[in-house]
Order: sequence, then C-alpha cells, then structure tokens
Amino acid sequence: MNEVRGTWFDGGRSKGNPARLRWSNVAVALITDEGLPVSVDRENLQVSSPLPGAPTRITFGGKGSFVTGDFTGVEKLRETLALNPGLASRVERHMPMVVAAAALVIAMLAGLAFWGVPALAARLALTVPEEISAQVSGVLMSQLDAFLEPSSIAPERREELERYFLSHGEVATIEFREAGIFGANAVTLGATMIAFSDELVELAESDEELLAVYFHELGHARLRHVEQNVFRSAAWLVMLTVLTGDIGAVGELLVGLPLSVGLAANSREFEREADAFAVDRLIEADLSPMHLATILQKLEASHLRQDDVEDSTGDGDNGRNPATDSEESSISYSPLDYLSSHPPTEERVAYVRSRMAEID
Amino acid sequence: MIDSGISGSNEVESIQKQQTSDEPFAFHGKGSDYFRIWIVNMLFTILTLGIYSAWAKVRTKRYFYGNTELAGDRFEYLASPIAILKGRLIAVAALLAYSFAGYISVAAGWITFALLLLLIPVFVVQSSRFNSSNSAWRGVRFGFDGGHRQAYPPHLFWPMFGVATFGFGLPFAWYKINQFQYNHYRFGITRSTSSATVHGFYGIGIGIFVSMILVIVLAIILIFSIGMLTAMIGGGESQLSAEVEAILVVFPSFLFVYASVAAIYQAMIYKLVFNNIEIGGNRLRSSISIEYVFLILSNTFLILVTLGFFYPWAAVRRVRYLMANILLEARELDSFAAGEFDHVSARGEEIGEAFDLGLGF
Repeated sequence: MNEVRGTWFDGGRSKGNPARLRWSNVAVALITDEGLPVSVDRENLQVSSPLPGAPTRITFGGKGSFVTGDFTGVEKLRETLALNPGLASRVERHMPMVVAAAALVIAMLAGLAFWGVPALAARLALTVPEEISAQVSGVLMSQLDAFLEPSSIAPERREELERYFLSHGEVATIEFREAGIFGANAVTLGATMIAFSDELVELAESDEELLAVYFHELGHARLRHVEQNVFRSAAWLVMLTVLTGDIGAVGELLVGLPLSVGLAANSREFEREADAFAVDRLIEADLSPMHLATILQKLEASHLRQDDVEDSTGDGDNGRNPATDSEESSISYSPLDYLSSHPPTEERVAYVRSRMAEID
Repeated sequence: MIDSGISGSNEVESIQKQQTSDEPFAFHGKGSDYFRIWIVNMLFTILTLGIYSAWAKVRTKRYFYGNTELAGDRFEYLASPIAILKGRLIAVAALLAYSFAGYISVAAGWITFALLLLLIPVFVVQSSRFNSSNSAWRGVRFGFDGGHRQAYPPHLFWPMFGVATFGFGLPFAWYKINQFQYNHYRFGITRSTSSATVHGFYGIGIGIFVSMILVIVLAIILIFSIGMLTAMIGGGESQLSAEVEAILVVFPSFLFVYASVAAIYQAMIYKLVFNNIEIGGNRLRSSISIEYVFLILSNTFLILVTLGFFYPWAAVRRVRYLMANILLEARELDSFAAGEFDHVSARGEEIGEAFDLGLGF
C-alpha cells in the first residue's frame, strides 16, 4: 500500500482537510486526518499533468479534489495506475529535448517567415477572382485619392498613352493623378489597376520609358503582388495572435518589429520579380531593356532633387526609392519600412545591364 | 461611505483589527521552469498549426496559478482546452473578416469595425465569466455575475465619452469599469465589493498625464544626446546614419515611452483597485510602487536584446513582484461556500484576446 499526504477540498467550502491518498494495484482510498473516509471512484480518477512547482490535483469525478505537493509520491501513483504524464511534460523535463525544441522553434519560425507564409500567400493570391481584385483596387484608389489631385495632363495624351500601353498588355484600368509632394511615381493597385502620376509622365523623355514602367507595374499586377501582401499580412496577424496569446502589449510591439522588416523584405523581392517581368516584356516587344534602367535612374535623380527641396520628411521614399512604389502604401507598419522597401537603384540597373549582356 | 457615528465606527474597526491576520501572497515560479514550458508550448503550437495553442494556454495558466500561494494554499486554473479552442477558432475567423473587410469596400470595413465595437462589452463579460469561473482556491471557484446589458455603459458608452471629451472623461470611464467589474466578481457565492472612488481614478489620470510629459521629455533629451554623440564621433555617410538612428534611437525611444507609460498606468491602477477590494470582510492591500515601472522597463529591454527569449523570465519576475506586494487582511477564509455554476463558453474570452492587437480600450 502506497500513500501520499495532501489536502482534501470538498468543493463546497473553502476549508481544506489534511488527508492521505492510499492506493494499491486494485484499489484507491482517501482518508482525512479526522478519520473521515471519502468515497472515491477509481474509474473516474484523474490526475493533473505535472507542472514544476505546482501541486498535483487529483479528482474522482465529483466536486471535491485532493491536492498534494508530494511529487515523488505522485510519480509512484502514476506508475502503479499506468497514467501518462503527457507528452509536453516529458519533453519539458529533458534538457536536450528543450534545447532541440528551442532550435526547432527558431528554424520553423524562420521557415514560416521566409517560405511558408509567402508560399501560402502566393497560392491563395492566384485564387482571388478578378472581380474581387477590381473591388480591392477601387478601395485602395479611393484611399490614395485623399492625398492626390485629378490629373492635369491633357485627356488626348492620356488616351494616347493608354492605347499604347494596352497594345502591349491587357490590364483593365490605367489611372493618372497629380501626386504633388509624392512626385514621380506609379502604383499597382491589384490585378486590374495601374496608376501613374503626372510627374512621372512629364519626367519620361520617351514613351518607351513609360512603357518600361508600365511593364514593371504589369509584373506586380500579373504576379498578384497586392493580393499576396494582403494574404501575407493576414497570415502574420493570425500567426502572431496565436503564438503570442499571453505575451501582452509590449511583447506585441516587439513582434511587430520583425513583422515590418519581413514585409519590407517581401516587397524588395516583389520589385525584383517585377523588374525581371518588365525586362522580359521589353525584349518581347523588341525594345531595349535599357529603357527601364534609364527611367529608374531619372526617378532616383528626381526624388533626390525633391528631397533637397523638402529636406527629407523621412516617410515613404527616402531618396533612393525609385518611383515604382507599389502595394505597400496601404500595408505599412513602422518607420523601419522605408529602410528596404525597394532594392537600391544601382542594383536594379546592374540587373538590367546583365540582361542586356545576355541578349548581345 | 457615510459613517453612522464616530464611536460606532471605531468600535467596528477595533473589532476588525483584532480579528484580522495578514496573509501574504507568494509566487514560487521560476524563469527556467517557465522557459521549458513556454518553448515546448511554442513548438507544439507551430507543429499543430495553432491547434495546440489552447492547450498551451491552459498549461501556462496552470503553471502560474499553481505556483501562486495564499495562506498556505495554491490557486488552480481549471479551464478545458477544448472550450478555449472553440473560442479561438471563432476569434481567428473574426480576425480574418476584420482584416479583409476593409479591402472589399470602405463601408464593409467600417461596418465590421462597428460590429466588433458593439460586441466588446459582450466579449468582456464572457471573458470575465470564463476566467473567473475557471479559477479556484481551496477547491472553491470564483465567478462573475455582471450581465451583458449592464456591461454596455461601462465598457462602451463611458470609454467613448472619454474619447469624445479628449480624454477628460476617461478616468470616469475607468471608474465605471472598476465599479462594474469588482462589484460583480465573487468567490464561491460571496460577492466582492470595490470602494474605489472617482477621485482616485482622476488622480491616476493626472498622474499619467504628468508622467507622460516627463517620459516624453526624457526620451527627447535621450534622442538628442545620442544624436549629438554620433554626430561628434563621425559624420560618416549621412543616409546610413539616418537608418542607424531609426533602428538604434527612434524605435527604442518609442518603446521606452510606451513601456514606461503603460507600466506607470498599470502600477497606479493595480494599487488603486487592489487597495479597495473587499470580499467577505477580507481586504486586499497593495504596496506596488515605482519599482514596478523599473521592473517592466528592464524586462522590456532584456526581451528586446534577447530577441524575445527573456520573455519567460520577464513574466515570472513580473508576477513575483506583484504577488510579493499584495497582502490579504484576512478575517475569515475557511467559510466561503461554493455555488452552482452554469457552463460558460470560452468565446468571449478568446475573441477579446485576439482583438487586443487592434482595439485599445
């Protein structure tokens, strides 16, 4: 006969009774120190999973509970009755397993961040019907319109450009706006909408340069980058909520940091994809990919000039950013975003040059 | 409270004094133990694509409750993971609806937002019921009696009033929330009461305002002195230093202001609320001080530099401090009677938790 000492709480009153739980292979009995036997049902016996420092709670199907801090005693009870302490508890107790768990967690979080979430978002983005995309574009455009003015470019010129662009691709809507302080820029607002700023149209010295920008944006549109970003941020939100359930507000602020850096990294990768798409299309149209490099350099120069005038506000395009700013306008989180939303212009120009070399 | 007569109240007080004994709270958890639980929870949660998070939550809470002692006995957390899982699934669905609605149309976004706002009081009540009825001490469960309808003024109307009055009404809202919550908790069948006054909450409001200004001034001085220092050390590449400044100065300063003000607010609220709770003639006493703010700041700093891995030690330090600074002036702890409790759904709790991210009441 084995026994553990503990306290019996009857579940009716907040007074504990010192008691002993006794057991053998066949029977379990509970006796309080006052000699009061408590009827216990072995069939319904439940032992709480072990936790370091916390007492074990044993119940018998009724309101009452027997609580004990005698860990070795409880271990024996588990052995006799063949009770499973639970997988979590077994892993927690072995230091090598804990270390392995930590390494696995880091590896899996990195895997999710760099591969899992992007892959899931890419797959889901392709399932979004065009009508829904068009609706999203409308919402994003109306949000942007709060900061933009109607285009002051002659309607004939706009129609001419639109016809020229559409003869090389089939995005449904092309919009023009005066962007003011945002300067020369173009954005993709979904699978079916691309917007140009007047300043960009004026900056370009040939329509081929504008076509290069159009192809870049078309790349964003075709590859569903806006939709991918929507899914990525939703996936992150759900993941962080589930993982940080009880970390508290400061913890959330901290996990927000890798989130914003991650999103900026995503957007750099999107820019590269869109550049590659644009170069392919330019080659297909028998035009020189250098048009893209030219307009990128002009954009950089124009933003540097603008920054000199405004003394850099520190938000959005910080000088280096070429105008082909895309979807993240609506999904930006922290002042760190601007650090890396686009790859440096030299790198992008070098890429175009390398592709040029390929054709020659 | 109005005294019926000076001599009478003195008599009552002296009787109470004779009978009370100070029962301290104590937390026995260890950072290293909680780290093991935390990392295994995280692992299983990722491996099960989030399903295990409900079990993880129960295990964490059982660890913290089971290591909290009052008058020789530990607290217990008794919630069923399945109930929490159900709530969590609904919460995730709501969270997804909330994050997609704004893209479909501006109106849909606002309607979802308004709906969630309207449901906040319901979530709060569900959460209070679920949490309290799954907490126990000496085999007797806690409970919460506040109704959904009663929750609307304190948890929706008064906070909105507080915002509409540019914050001047907020302490009144805190007062209303305190009245609603702490007059409806019970231990067994015994209700708690709160004697916190409006004045107390306005005191906190003023304290927060003043400390916010002080902390912001301190942060600005810090930013400037660091800026001067880096400028003196070397001009360097101007763009690079702007980026470095953002990472090393602006974000930490923001975090410093945020964490300080949050900690000051928490410390003052805890002190006021705890010092005014009474249940069955037993009163809580709290000695939480500015130490709490330093503790939260050092926790935040250590969590940041360890990329989150200090979190388990931080959580343990925080609870240990809080428990070391709460005392129960106990008169009678043996005769609380348990009541019969209805089954409570986990929905409110988990949805409320999921939306902590977005809504800051």
